[in-house]
Amino acid sequence: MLYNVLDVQQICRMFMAMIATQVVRPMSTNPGGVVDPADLIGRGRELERLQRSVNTGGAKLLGDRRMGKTSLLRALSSSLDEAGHTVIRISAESKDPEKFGRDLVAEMRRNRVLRDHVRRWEAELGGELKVNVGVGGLRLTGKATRPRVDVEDDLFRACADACHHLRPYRLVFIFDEITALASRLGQLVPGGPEEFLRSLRAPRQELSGISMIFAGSVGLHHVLSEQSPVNDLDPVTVGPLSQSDALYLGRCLLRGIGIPEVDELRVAHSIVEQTCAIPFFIHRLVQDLAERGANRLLEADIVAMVDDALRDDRWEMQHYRDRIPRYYGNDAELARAMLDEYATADQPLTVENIVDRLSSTELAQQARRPKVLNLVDRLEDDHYLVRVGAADRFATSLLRRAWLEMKR
Amino acid sequence: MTVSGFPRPSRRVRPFTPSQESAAEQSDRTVGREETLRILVDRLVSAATSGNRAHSILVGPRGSGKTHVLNVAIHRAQQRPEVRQRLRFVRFDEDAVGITRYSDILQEVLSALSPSRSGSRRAALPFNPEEAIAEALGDQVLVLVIENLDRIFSVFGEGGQQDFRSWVENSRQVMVLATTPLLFPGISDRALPWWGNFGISHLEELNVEQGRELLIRLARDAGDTALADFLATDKGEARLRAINALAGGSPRIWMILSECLTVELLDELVPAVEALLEGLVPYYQQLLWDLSPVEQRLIRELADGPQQAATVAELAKAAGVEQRVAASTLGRLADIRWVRAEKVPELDKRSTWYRLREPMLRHHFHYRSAADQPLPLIVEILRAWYDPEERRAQLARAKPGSVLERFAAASLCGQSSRFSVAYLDRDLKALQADARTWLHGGASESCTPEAGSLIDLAVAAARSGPVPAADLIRTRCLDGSTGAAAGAIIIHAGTQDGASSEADRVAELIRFAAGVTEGRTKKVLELESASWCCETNPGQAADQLVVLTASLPPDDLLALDARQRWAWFTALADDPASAQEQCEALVADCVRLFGPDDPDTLKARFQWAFYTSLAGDAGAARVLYEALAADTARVYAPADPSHASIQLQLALVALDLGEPVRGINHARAVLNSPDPQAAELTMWAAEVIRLSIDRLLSGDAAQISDSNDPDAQLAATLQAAIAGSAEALVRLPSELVEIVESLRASSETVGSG
Repeated sequence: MLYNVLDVQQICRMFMAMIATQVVRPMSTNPGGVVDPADLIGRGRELERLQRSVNTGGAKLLGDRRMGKTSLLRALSSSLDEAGHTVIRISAESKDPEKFGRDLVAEMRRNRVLRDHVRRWEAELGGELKVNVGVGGLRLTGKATRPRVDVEDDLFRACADACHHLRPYRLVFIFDEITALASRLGQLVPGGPEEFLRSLRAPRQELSGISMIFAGSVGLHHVLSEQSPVNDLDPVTVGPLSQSDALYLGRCLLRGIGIPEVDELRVAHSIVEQTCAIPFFIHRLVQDLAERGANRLLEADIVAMVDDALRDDRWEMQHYRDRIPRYYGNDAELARAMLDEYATADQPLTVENIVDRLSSTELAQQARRPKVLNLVDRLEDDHYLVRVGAADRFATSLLRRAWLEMKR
Repeated sequence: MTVSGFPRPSRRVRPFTPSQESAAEQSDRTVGREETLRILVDRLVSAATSGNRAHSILVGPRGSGKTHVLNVAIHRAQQRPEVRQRLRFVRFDEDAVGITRYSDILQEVLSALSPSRSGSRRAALPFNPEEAIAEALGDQVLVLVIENLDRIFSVFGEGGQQDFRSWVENSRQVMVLATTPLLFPGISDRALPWWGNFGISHLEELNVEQGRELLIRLARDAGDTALADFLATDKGEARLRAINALAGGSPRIWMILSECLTVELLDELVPAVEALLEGLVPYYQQLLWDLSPVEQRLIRELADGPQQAATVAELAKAAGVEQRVAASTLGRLADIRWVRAEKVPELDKRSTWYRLREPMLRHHFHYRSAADQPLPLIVEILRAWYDPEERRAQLARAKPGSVLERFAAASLCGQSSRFSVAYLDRDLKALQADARTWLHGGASESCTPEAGSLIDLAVAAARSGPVPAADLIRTRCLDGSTGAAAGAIIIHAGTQDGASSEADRVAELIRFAAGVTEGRTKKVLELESASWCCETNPGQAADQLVVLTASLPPDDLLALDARQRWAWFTALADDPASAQEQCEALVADCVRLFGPDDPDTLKARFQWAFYTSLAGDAGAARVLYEALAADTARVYAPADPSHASIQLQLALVALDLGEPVRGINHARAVLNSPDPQAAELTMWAAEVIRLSIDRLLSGDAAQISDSNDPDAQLAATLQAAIAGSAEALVRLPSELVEIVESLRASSETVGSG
């Protein structure tokens, strides 16, 4: 029996090795920094979905922090640009809408299609170009160096006109961290986020040839009271890498730090297993290995390192527990209890399972089906849970392991 | 300036301002940071050659070498042309002031990138400063080197951090290389924008080996080869271990130590520690100034208070701080490595005990207040603990049953050789030290505590007489049979001839003890008895040891010890060939049981070669010594005394083989040995050189083996010149001509006479 199990494990590993057919090359660790699109491993399926969405107006990219959304957007930008589309990719993570406007102008000036138009607009609008950012939308205006300060134009309309001759290629705006800007506008004007995002929806619907991709560390559902401003966008979720891509990434990083090649596949496999194929943690773990200066490594070393990281909270997983009161308010206690149930269950749990399990606890009164169902949806949106058929389980076994550690 | 009358050295390192030092020199003396440096250099190279911008942050307390590592990483990366061409470094030093807003960063970067703005650092920012920076950079990548990022992020607030991140993300041309004394929310809080954006490297303290390596490099840089050589010795290491136990492993403390270190100071240790304390004054002052008033009060209480460790409640009360405030402050002090928090399982588990992380800080307060301090005593204890020689001497002279005896014996456990060698010189102090080590459980695989007690008693009785020795029996709390044997020894000691030597009396008492004991204790006593009783009759000792060996299992450590001693006494009995044969078998067993690099295996190999040489086979002995020299060089530090011993034996073998040039070379290696304790060997080496020169000048050398060897060529020329060759005389170095001419003149006089 034991031999059979070992054989299966061995065959699985060989299979993993076979499908990781890309040429392993040394890569340096980069946990959380800017990744060159050429070094982005995997994400082919997500990239394809995003590319396809461009033809239908765009997409909203969903995923937990450090899952690789920004890197994916960079690769998307690069591929769309190569395909002939005009792409403006910009991070909207700023407390200052004016700064966002400056960044947007700078980005347009860098763009090979729009830069000539920027000069023309500056001539027409009077002086250096500005983008006014408000809940009503993004408007082009000239710096007040001439008397014609009242001249304004809608940014998207102006850009659409400028790119009209390029059709069927499209003008694609990629707004990373859009929720940060929307939140900021919400602080300035009640209902600001909805109004602002609605102002971005209008050009997608009214102007031909414009697409938008949104992404944000904070989920749109935390910023918008209702989803209509973005419900025309395809949801594309980015999660852990596929096993084969994660294995390939692990091997490249291990090659980069000089782990003996004889250990590479075995160690990479263990790393992927322990990190649930999340690229950020793969990078962090390999960096830790590099700092240890380890020569020969055992699977047990990797397991011990992850155990230590979770026990000492070096991977900052406590945040998932700490943010619950902020996210779920009066339902925080119920949400935490539900997660405790999911963490201790061996199988995915349905809503009924949860109601049943909590029925004998102090929370029985609160744990009614509609509320539990609503919380399950929110816990999915916040990347705690994932749906498996009609049931749910923790999004990753790593998070589940961390949750159990924190619960202890 | 002097400390306790010792001269102070003068060096050139800057422990407090590493940014002012040459990066190349810093790179050369870097120890213990290679893995981190490799990661940083790889990332910089990657930034120069691709679109990767792997932001990195070094985390370590003050003095841990963050600035040093940054300097060296940048220096090493800049050895690559692509890095020099593509990366622009803009640096915010650790004391940078006035960086309170995101726009200040842009201002500073623009000033650094645009020479025209350098004269007006506070010139108005352009309308779009990010774009102006991008223009100034062209296709280059900006590496922002920011020290103490925690301070900057703290004043930026979340909004400033967001702006900063959005610029870095949008520009695609910025890589951040930062330092911080501790993790801070800006990078460790998942809710904040920069969470997870940095590759985090923690700089750990240097261990003693790394600290020693650093000090050796600094001493060499300063031309102090005597100190560098001393640091490489076991004694130097022992002294550093003592200092490390006091001062901890902060690289800055090692650097400060290098500033005040000489061989004399380090050997005496107390003056070295005093000098270190003096050197640490500005370091600790600066650190303390950086703390808040509440933090300072708590630290002061821990340093000045009556106890080394205290609970939150105790500290809060003593420092006059609210307990809740004390708890949170101590938590922070633990985070930044000022204090260490401990739970003591045997005590109330709810209580956390705090103590200063660096013991030296406590002494700093005492030193500054000129209060009576236990430092010299602590240093003496540490000095003894880490120095095996000192501990053996201490063990022999310690009062029986005293704390000092237990301390010294415990510190020696597992560190000395498996085999006692006191019998070789009939060294009673060494025998007593060994016996006391066994008494406290050392060498438990071969010797019994009971044997240790009885030998210790025998030495005491032989030295002080039976009455004082009788007190020892009470001190040792011996069990029934051992107590009875001890009593018999005391009675027998009273019958001994007072005119015989102490060593002879001890030998006789051990033999007597072997007769009144049983089991393994008896075997141990028989071994020592055979080794100590037969000074004038080594053949008899050898016979006794053969019998003892036969009575023990072959792999028993006592049997191996007996075989080793048997070889020694056999050689003394003029049968070195048998000793050689025995030792060869012993080496094979040592390799099998202890491994090839074990110190006892290497010692057995030395003996094998030695007996081979005594047996007259100098060629074979040379092969054995040379192989041993190679392995010893691999296993031991250059200053280990074993190197000089082997070189001296090789010199003697070369003389035996009629190769005086080689003999001189080996003997010279002994003279050049960095082991300062090789004085006796040095005397022998000088003698070998004199003998070799005599052989050379008398033309007695059998051959000049290697014609390409410059020394061999010189020897050949010298011999030819002495023999009368005019050409050889011309070719001879001028400083030797006078000698040769006088030799020729004297031989002509003898000839004509």
